[in-house]
Formats: sequence, C-alpha cells, structure tokens
Amino acid sequence: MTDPVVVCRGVSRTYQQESVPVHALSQVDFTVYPGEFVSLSGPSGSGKSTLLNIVGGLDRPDEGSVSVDGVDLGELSESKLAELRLHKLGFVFQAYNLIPVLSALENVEFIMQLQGVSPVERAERATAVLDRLGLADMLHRRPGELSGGQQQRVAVARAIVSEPVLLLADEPSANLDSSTTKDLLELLKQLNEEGMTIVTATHDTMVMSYALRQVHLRDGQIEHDDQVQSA
Amino acid sequence: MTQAVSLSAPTSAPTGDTGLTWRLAWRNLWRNPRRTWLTAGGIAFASLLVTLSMSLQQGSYDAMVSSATGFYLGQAQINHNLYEDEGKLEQTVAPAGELRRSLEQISGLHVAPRVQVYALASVGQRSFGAAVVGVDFEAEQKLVSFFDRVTQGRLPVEDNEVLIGEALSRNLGAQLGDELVLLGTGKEGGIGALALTIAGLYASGRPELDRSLVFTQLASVQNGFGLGDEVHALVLGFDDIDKLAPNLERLSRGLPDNAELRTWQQLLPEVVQSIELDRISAVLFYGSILILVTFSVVNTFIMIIFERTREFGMLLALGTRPAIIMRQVQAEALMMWLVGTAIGLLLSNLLVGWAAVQGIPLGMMEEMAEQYYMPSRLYPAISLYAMSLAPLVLLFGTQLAAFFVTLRVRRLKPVEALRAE
Amino acid sequence: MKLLFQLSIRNLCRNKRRNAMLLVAIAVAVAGVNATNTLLRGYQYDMLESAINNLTGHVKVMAEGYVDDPNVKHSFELSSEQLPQLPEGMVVGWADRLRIPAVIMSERETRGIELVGVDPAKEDISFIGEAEIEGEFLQGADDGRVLVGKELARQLQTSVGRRLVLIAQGADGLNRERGYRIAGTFDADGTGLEKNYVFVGLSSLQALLETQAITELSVRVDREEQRLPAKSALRAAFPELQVKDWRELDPQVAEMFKFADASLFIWFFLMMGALTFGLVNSLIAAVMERVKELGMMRALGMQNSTVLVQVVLESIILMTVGVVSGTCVSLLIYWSIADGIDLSAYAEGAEMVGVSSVLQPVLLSEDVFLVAIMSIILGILASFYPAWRVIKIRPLDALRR
Repeated sequence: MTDPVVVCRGVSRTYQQESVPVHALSQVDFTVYPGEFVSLSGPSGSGKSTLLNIVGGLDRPDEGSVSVDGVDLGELSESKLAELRLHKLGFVFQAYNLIPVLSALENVEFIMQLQGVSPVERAERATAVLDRLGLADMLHRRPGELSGGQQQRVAVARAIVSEPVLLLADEPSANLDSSTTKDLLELLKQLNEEGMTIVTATHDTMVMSYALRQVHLRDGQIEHDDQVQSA
Repeated sequence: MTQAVSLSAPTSAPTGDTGLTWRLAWRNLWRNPRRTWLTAGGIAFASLLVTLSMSLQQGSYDAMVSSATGFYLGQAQINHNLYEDEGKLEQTVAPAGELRRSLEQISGLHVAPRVQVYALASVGQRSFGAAVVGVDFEAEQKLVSFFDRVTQGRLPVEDNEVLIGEALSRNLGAQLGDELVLLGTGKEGGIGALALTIAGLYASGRPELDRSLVFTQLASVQNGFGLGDEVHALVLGFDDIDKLAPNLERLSRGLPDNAELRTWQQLLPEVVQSIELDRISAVLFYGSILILVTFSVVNTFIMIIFERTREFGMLLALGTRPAIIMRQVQAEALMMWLVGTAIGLLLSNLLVGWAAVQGIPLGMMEEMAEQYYMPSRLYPAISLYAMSLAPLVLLFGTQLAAFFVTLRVRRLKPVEALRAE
Repeated sequence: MKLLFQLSIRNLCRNKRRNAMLLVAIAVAVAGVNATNTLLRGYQYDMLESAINNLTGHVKVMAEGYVDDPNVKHSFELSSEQLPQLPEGMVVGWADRLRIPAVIMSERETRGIELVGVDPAKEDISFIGEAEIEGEFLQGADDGRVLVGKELARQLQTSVGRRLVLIAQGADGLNRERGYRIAGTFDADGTGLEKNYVFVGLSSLQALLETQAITELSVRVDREEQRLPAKSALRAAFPELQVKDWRELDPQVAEMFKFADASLFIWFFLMMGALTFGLVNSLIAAVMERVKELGMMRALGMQNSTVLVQVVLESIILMTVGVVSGTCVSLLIYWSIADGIDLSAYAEGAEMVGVSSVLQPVLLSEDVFLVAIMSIILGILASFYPAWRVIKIRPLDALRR
C-alpha cells in the first residue's frame, strides 16, 4: 500500500473556555491514504472541526503527533507551517471566504502569487481551472457579483489550482441551497475520482453521502469509522 | 459584533433621560477602548502641545518685556514731545527736580533723570564721537541693570568722573584714571566742554552701546552744556510692571504742556512688534494642528456611525427620534473631548508648573538671548487664556465633527439600516 | 507585488469617506509644515541676506587686531586689483573698503559714525548698492563727496548738497578734519544702518588719511556653503591676515540661522506627532475590519511578513496621496504669498531680529522632499502596530469571527 497522506497518533486538544477546560479531542488516531474522500461528522463540539484544523496545520495538538505527506507538523515553525499549507494543502472554507476586492480570477491567482508562480503561468493556470469549473464567463466578476454556489466554486478552484496533496473542506455546504450543494459535491466527487484526496468536516448528511469513508466523532473521540462502497 | 450588547440591554438605548445619556455615552466610548484612547490621545497631544507652547510663548514675552525695560530704557519715560523725533539738545523737560519729587510720591515708583548730549570724546590724540549721558547713578541702579555691568573700576562718585564702554576705551587707547575730554555744542549754541577722569569701564553686551555711550553725573552735564534744571528724560519704573497700566493716568497728570509720557510699548516698539510677529507665525502652526486633530475626530466618528448603523436602524424602527440619537453621539464626542483634554491639561499643567519653578535653561542660545533681551532661563507664564484657548477650540471642533457625521442619521431609513453589515 | 498593490488600492477604496478624512488630515499636516517652512526659510534667508549685506559679505579679510580696535593702523594693502584666484564661478563679487570710526558734524549737531571708503562700482554686493538714493550715488572711488543715511541727515538737520565736517584719525595717529558735500542720502531697511554708516570714495578717503591701505576685503559667494572653500582659498592667499566668514563675524545671527534649521524638524515632529494618532487609528480600523479575510489568507498559507507588507503598503499609498495633495496645497499657499508678506506694521520688530519688512517666503525643494520622505517613513512606522495587532490574532481565531 502507498504511504498515508495524513497520520495522527494519540492526538489530544483541550481548550480553555472561560476557564473551564473543554476536551475537544482526546487520544485520537486518524490516518488518511491517497485517493480517499473522508467526511468528519458529529454534533457541535464533537471535535470534527478541531481535527480538521489540526490536520490542516491551523491548530496544534497538546499531545500526540501529526504528519502530513510525511512531514511531522510538530517540528515546524509557524512560518514553515504556513509554507506547507501554501504548497501542499488546499482549503475550502464556509461560503463568503473570498477576498471581496479581488475578481474571481485574481482570487485564484493570488495564492499562486504567494507561491511565486510567474504572472504568465498564473493567468494560464487560473483561467484553465476556472474554465474547467464552468466559471469561464465570470473571471472578472468580484465575489459580490457572484451567487453563493459560484463563490464556492471559485473557492474550490483556488484550493486545487496549485495541485495540493490534500483538499480540506470545512462545512463546504454551509449557506448553500440543496441544488447548489449537489453541484458542489458532484465537483468534489469528480476531483476525487481524478485522484484528489479530500477530507471534509460537515454535519450535512448530503455531504456525508458523497464521502467514501465516514468518520463520526463524539466527545472528542472517534465513535465509528466506516468505509462506504463507492457508488 | 458589539451591537448585541447594547441591543440586549434595554437601558443602553438613547432616551430623553439626561443622566442616562451621559452614562450611555460613557459606556459606548469604551466599546472600543483602543480607538477611544487613540482619538483622545490625539486631542490630548494637541491640547498639551498648544497650551504648553502658548504658556512658554507668554512666558518668553513677559521675560522679553521685563529684561528689555529693565536693561536701559525703563518701563516708561517722560520726554519733551518732540525729542523722540528730533532729539535736539534744547528739547528738555523742566523743572526736572520738582517733577521728580512729585512723581516719587507714587508708591513703588522709581524715577531717574537723564540728559544726553553728543560730543567728540578724546583721550590724547585720539577722538571718537560719543553720546554723553548725565545720570543719577544711585537712582539708575534701582531701575535698570545697565549699571551692574561695570567690568573695571567703579561707578563715578565725584562730579568729574566718567564711566565709558570697554570698546571705546580700547579704541581711544584709554585706561582707568586717564582724562577724557568731551567737546560738543552747548544749549545756547556755544561750545560745551567737560574734562573728566575715567573711573570705570563697562561691557553691556551690546557693542554699539559700548562704543558710543559714556556716563557721568547729571549735574556735570547740565553745567557743562548749558542746561539748567532740565532733563531729556525722566525714566520711570515700578517694582512690579503690572502696576504701570493702572497708574498711567496719575503719571501723566501735572506734566508740563510740552512733555509727554511714553510707555515701554512706545519706547520699544520693536519688542511689541517682534512679539506680534511671533504670535502670528504661531497661529499658523496651532491652526494646522487643531484642524488636523479635528479631522481625525471626524474620522473616528465616521467609524462609530458606520459600525452602529444597524443599532441606529433598530432604534429608529422602535420609534426613537433622530434628534435623540444625534444628541447621544454629541454626548459621546463631549466625553471623548473631556478625556483627551483632561489628560492633555494635566500633563501640560504639570510641565508648566515644573518649568515655572525650575525655569527652562536656554542653553546654547544664551548669547543670542542677551541680544534679543532674553534672560538665560525661560519661565512659562501660567494663564487661563493659554490653558483654555486650545481646549475650547477642540471642544468646538469635536462637536462640529460629531454633528457633521451624525447628520447621516437623519437620512437613515430604518429598514435599510437594519440590513447594513 | 502588482497584485498586492492593487489589493491595497482596492482596500483603501472600500472606505472612501474615512480615508478621505484621513487624507485631509495628512494634507493639512503636510501643507501646514510646508507653509510654516517657507515662512521660516524666508525669515532665515532674509536674516542671512541682511547679515551678508550689512557690509559683511560671506567672507571677510581683515588685518589682525582690527576687530578690537578699528583703526587705520590695522590695515593692509591689496597688491593688485585682482582678487587672488578662487575656484571658478564661485565668487559673485568682492569689495575692498577702508572703514574707520569718525565724528560727523553739521552746523548744528555732532554724531559718531563709521566712515566707509568704497569703490561704488564694487558695492553691488552690499545693501548700499541697492539702496534707494535721494540725490546722487557716489560716482567713483575718487568721489570726494559723502553719502549719508536719511535718518542721520534728519538728525544732523542737513540735506543733499549741503556740507558736513568729518573728523577721523589718520595713519599717523593724528586727527584729520575735512569738509564734505553731501552727494545723496540713502534709505536702508531699518534706521540702524542709516544712522551708522557714511560712505565716501575710497581713494578720496585714502588721500585724506594719507594711506594706500584698506581695512577690509569683503567677498560674496554664490551659495552659502561655498563660504568654506572660499575661506580656505583666501587664507592661503593672505596668510598674514585674519580671514573670517559671516558666521564667525556675526555669531548671533549664525546662531539664529542654525536655530531656524532645527525648528524645521521640531515643527515637523510636533505636527506629525498629532497626525500619528489619527493615522494609527484608521489603519487599525482598516485591518480589524478585514481580520477575517486576512485570517483566511493566512490559513491558505500567506506569511505574516506578507500581511505586514500589505498594511505597510496601504499606509504608504495613503501617505503618498496625502503628501502629494498636501504639497500641492502648500504650493498654492506659497504662490499666493510669493510676492511676500508685508510686515511693515511690524517692521521694527522684524528689524530687531534682522529681517526686512517684507517677508519673502522661500520654498526649498530639499525641504519639500525631506518632509515628504519623512512623512512616508512615519507612515511605514505607524503601520507596524496595526500589522502587529492583526498578526497577533491566530488565523483560526480570525476565521471564527
């Protein structure tokens, strides 16, 4: 079998919430292999977002180790973590997480600029990926001039344009109606079939139904972890 | 994000209740403490700066006036009314003795008589032009500091003694004890002459005076140049210069018809005018600084109004009149001003108070200070005017800023405002 | 960088009203500082001009001992009519003079004055060359008439065409007395000069005092800084004599001159100090309202340093626009007062501190650039705190807002 993309060993995370400790995660082991489409689900406070954030290098565990694409995140400085996020991970946040003053094309280009991609290549790749996601006519519109579904497509375009090893999506369907959610999920499914590894945190059953592996958390621990037969 | 706080607490909505308006204004101010501190900080900085420099300015003017009047010219003089313009020998005030005695009845007033004639001053073969001033040395010392600047020898005591500048003595090649011959024109057109012994040398710090003024006894000059009980000037000075203004009427009472009283403002127009000049250029600076601070207050209130649009929409929807909301914002502006000026004035008063005791050494500028009638240490003046002008301008500015910005509230449609982000 | 730049511009346009107010504040500050500077420079240059014009020049050559005892004994002879070689293009003009104290008498009055023997053709470097004359100017170095100040003429109760008697010490130490006809009276800035100086043809005075010598050689250079090389060159040419520049000859004015330089900085920092509060306030508001957006970008992998660059860039753009418009305003102010501000109502005060009665504002491009550069540096410094505030918030927390 190929090497895993994500390996979490004995991960615990406790927050101080108004001086009351909240155990968001306790002793969680979690591994993701290339090509998987994993959904993390569970009620509010179950730890699904915390786990996603830890995998994405946005948060650090109090105990345990995390490695992404063979790199131990615990060893990395904040700025190295940022670099890792930039080059190896793609993120799709809840809706409305585009830069409002930049057009769709510029939003996608922006990330590549941070990576140091040349302007010509940047424009080419961004146009190509937006074209592929059916946004060819919207390149120069600003987020405010796009529908929620279109905005989320731009966000996906931005996440995948640099060909990350792992795509993380936090509540990608929040603020979307069911038909746009379906479109988005079809897009993610298609990406997964082309080999993209996807991990999403959600409480939307429709999102879960598209995942090939459903991990359910409760009180900071993995309650069950089911492989689903691909449709 | 913060709207929730004020929405959930019914007491925080603006009402017609004045006490509540103030309490609410105070609380609203601390919804964003950093912004309030920065805005109040700007107000504090401006009021500190302007009040402080106005106090220093006033202090330097006072010092300038007191050292200028106390140097040689006195706080006021009585002269012949044409003497200033024409400076003729015969333009004198008489009877000098009687006038002097009657003026000395005024409490706290010192009077010194002077006569001044131009003459050729010679020692041996060398001659220079000089003004010979006949004075009463004892009276002069109570009035002006000029005669404290004797560097060699002493002040003349005998009738035939003279005090000359160091520079003149060098030019004449003269030494203490040498005979100085003064030759000029007497009152009646004849020759006026005096032969005097150099008793002392002075250095006033102003070379042009050191080269041209020689001093001897009043009576010697009067006799030598054909003057009777006449003087060219009665130099006047009070212990405290503030007594001058209230006594003006009394001083000019009973003067001969051809005599006039001139105060330091007329004697030293250059001092009055350089004070004016300085005041004018300072106004430019104060003006700019107060305007720019007012604009930063406008800026702050734009932010405040912007982030509270939804709150205001809700209040309007509930039926609050725009005027009440506007009054609320004005109250906040007042509070902001209060915090800023309180800090600014506190610091400014501490600094002024400290400096008023210690004095600010003028250091390297001492040399310059002397030439421009300044003492070596500067004491700021404590005055209500200096302390209140900038704060009042800022009060007006902040109220205007808040008013200008809150005009928007009147155009606000409740429904749109509620939808605002 | 281009994208970052665009991003900054667009972000600034998001809140037009607020930034417009800030721009007005910056412009007022810059215009205020610049306008004050032009007046201060005008004042400073005027002071310099008066000091130089007042028979001082930038550099002066005198005999040892003349300053203490201005006597014809302390004099020297200028060997040829040619000034010793000075660097090309530096010297504007020079004048040799014989200047001694003298007594002047009219039929009615006696005064002590300084008698100055001049070559009128060379005196375009001093105030007398451009003074308004009633009657006639001296016609040449051998003109045996005198030019007296208007005020002195009034005090002596005499007028153009009448005679005066001058008494001065000759080279042998004995007094010479001679009658002179008044060629004209001059009107100078301030009665001080009018009362103090009496001019006569140089050769004529030399003849009276039976000397070939002069007491001073005054040199005027093109720019103030050139006084130093000119001084060294003159020192080399006249090793036996005292060579001093105007700052040494007139230390009080030199002190004032230096003080004016320092004032420029004091005004700048006080004004900008007041501005900083508003600037920081606005920049904080600008980043705090974008905290979520910046958090998202950082979650995507943007480095903290890039956040800093963005905030700094916005501040620089704001400052630049403010500085440019402020500078334009100050140019307008400058042009509107370029003819000079009439201080005649305050003229005596102005005279006391050595300036003439019309204050001519002076706009130096160095000053304008310095103010602009320092403002932009201030803008950069002021943006550090807001940037640090936003960087301090973890991306995760920023996203949750």
